Amino acid sequence: MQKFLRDPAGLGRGYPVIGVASGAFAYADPVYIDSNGYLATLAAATSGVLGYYVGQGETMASTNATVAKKCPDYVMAEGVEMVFGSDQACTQTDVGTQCDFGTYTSGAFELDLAGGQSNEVTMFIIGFDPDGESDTDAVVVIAATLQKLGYAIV
Amino acid sequence: MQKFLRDPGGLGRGYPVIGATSVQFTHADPVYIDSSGFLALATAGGLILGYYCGAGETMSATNQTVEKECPDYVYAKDVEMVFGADQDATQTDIGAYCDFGTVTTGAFELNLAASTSAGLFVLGFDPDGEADNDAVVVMAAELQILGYAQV
Repeated sequence: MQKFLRDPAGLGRGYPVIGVASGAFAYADPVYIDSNGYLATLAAATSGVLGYYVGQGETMASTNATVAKKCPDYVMAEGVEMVFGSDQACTQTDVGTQCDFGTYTSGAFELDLAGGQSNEVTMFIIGFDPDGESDTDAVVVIAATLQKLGYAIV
Repeated sequence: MQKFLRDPGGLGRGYPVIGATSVQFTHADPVYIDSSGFLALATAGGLILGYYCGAGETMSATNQTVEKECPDYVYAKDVEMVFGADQDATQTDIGAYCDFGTVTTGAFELNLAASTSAGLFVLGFDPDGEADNDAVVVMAAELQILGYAQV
């Protein structure tokens, strides 16, 4: 599960960046600009979140970088509350801490609360079970490592 | 060349800060607060507070103590700017960081060839579709209002 906690329609779109060749984008996917300068879904060990895809879902052509040059719609990540599933139920002590993703699959990004990695500061946890359904592995997060900022990642 | 990519008219003005003595400000100049507490032009590799948005003016030699004029600026966070660069931008520059090679009022220029710091984040180039590839769209990446260490 992955979704915007609040309607993103009022957020301004990010500056157009050409989508990576053959890249698949699903609603609410975290995105970043890869080392070749193309918009892609977030990958493990990347340098931060740029934003979230807000289109209906699409796959770039294999020639997108050179022919179609389609730019997937996204909103900048800063301050945007997102809900992602997680690998285990979230507890109160997780709130206020950071984590990263354990699964980086378009449409199925999943937070890694269990840990184990040395660099787990991608997302900041501000709550869980936002709809009061005892769905405690639905975790509310804000991007904590923003690609648009030039500071060192801890 | 330096300009706001979008009209800054709707952006709130930054809190008034007295301009540094004898400094000239030109529209879209990056600015910061210097170690004496006065608004000045951003330096190469330095932090950015905002962008001057007035029509252009030069502070008097006594501005810090007599006139105390506060140049208009907007905060830099999330503001897309266009600056000239020392060389054409290419796709691989997008998503990377750079700093300024020239920090002259009205003629700030990005240093794509050999940046040594991460003051600005490159989002694109040639925003008007004129094959003007050294017109580069950036956002400030190291904001003076934030307390992180520069890389």
